[in-house]
Amino acid sequence: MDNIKKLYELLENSANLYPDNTALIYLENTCTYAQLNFFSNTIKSQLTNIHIAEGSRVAICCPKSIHYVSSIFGILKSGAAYLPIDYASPIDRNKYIVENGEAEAIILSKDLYPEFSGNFSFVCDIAEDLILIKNTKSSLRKSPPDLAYVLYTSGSTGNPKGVMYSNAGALEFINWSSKIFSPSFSDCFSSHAPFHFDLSIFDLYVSIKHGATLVLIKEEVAKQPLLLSELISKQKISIWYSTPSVLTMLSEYGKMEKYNFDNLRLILFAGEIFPLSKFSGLKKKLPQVTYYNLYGPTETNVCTYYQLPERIENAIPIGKVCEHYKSIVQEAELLIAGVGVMLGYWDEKSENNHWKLIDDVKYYATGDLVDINEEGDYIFKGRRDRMVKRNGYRIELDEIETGLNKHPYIFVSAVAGENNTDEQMVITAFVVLREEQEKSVIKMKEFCMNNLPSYMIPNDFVFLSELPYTSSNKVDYQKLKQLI
Amino acid sequence: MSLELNQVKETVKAFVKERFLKNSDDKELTDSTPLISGGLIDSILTMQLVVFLEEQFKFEFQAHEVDVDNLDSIDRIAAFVLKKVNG
Repeated sequence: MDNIKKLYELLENSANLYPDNTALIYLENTCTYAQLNFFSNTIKSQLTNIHIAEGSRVAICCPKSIHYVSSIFGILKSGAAYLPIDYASPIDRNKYIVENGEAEAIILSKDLYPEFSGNFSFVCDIAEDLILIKNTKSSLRKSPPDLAYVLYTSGSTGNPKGVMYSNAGALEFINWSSKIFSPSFSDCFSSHAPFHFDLSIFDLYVSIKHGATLVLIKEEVAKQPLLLSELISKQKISIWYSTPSVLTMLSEYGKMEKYNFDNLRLILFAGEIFPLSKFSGLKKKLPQVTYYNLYGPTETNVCTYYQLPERIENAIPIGKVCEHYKSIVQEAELLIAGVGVMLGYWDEKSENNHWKLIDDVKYYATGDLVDINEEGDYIFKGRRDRMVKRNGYRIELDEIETGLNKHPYIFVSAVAGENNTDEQMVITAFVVLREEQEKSVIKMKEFCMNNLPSYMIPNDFVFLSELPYTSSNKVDYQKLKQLI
Repeated sequence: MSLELNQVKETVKAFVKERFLKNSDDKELTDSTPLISGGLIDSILTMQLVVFLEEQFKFEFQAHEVDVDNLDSIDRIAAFVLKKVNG
């Protein structure tokens, strides 16, 4: 296993060792390791035929399915990197990502083809509802060496930005996960996070590395706690990984007492703070489970971890740095170095100020402020900037403002994020409408639905006649927060 | 005595207005305003609505019944509640 250098080799290795094990379950469909390897080889050939190779990027935009996973491995086998796009996000945002990421080809849900047919030409069918299309432009930038995938995350410029990861970096994390969580081929993993979210890296590659089963959770089920309870119980899931928001929803609304969770042995959570009271509520219902808090910005994936003890009375620490990383704290900010850190942003304009050279080691500055407790565990204290986390998604409030300001009736807007008494992130939009326009929350939310990813839609709208400004003529966010 | 359609609609409408539309002078919340597909309520608020309906009208949702088809508007909610309660 140690000589594995590329992510797709994890699948080839398991297809050799466990050809008949169930690799994937999606709704009523299953697929063995031999089948998954075969499907991905077919997709690889289709990509190679149109000269997709190392240096290219292939976007994927479709709902979760077995073919989605085959596509990921097909792309990796071709030598290219995959660029997963949220099928449910507004089409303009997705078009921006395809254009900004200079995708050579897209594996696309057929219904979206009209949106892309201007710049892309049809190549072939991949599956019933899935097609391969190719960029008609020829002068696209080449990826850096060993690029495996590009994940787009919220950007402070108002547009999403692409974070680039290498095969080598992802494998460091996967091998670390093997060591810490000791999974085996008899485990059944959840795939709750969408593939454009970095939590999916653990689900996909750790399960496949060990010849285990991965249960792909349909987007509509992922948000519905009763169906999640049913699914965990029916599929006998043993390793679960999601954001704390999902676990809270499961424990508060999932009617867990009606289902059997005996197979669940490990719960990992990441992406945001798990309020202690909510965690305790879950632990009471699932006392037999081992829990880990995993922490890391998109740029590093998981870089610190903390195993929850039997009893915990204070805020849950983010823990100690993973073996494959180095950490240092400078002016309260956590800095991380190691092969697992991103290669960089695809768009070089996003690069400024994120790197720090200390004793010849290049550190990524996370922007997260931390403390250290007596046990040597890091405690998350807050952010340097205006980024917030909701349902594990990171959100640059500027991106919401940029989106809102496109509304023809909005004169100007400012967006603030604050935790409520329940420690839940609440995003409030302060809006100044053009004259004579109706103050309608319904219309505002409807507009957001069509222009922002759903996790960015503000919880509340407050209509003002003007925004407060500081003496230096900047929006006074402190004053705005007092209005919440 | 069986539950009346309008009675259910008024109860649900009052709940939605009070819980989800506090800051606005919205008069246009109609029986067909899309609540979930229109971005008005997210998954957690949807579950709060489910709990409210279960407590208010004394019935239980099956797991698969919590979906957009049954919950996306006051009209749909009322029709669903009546079907569950009156059979």
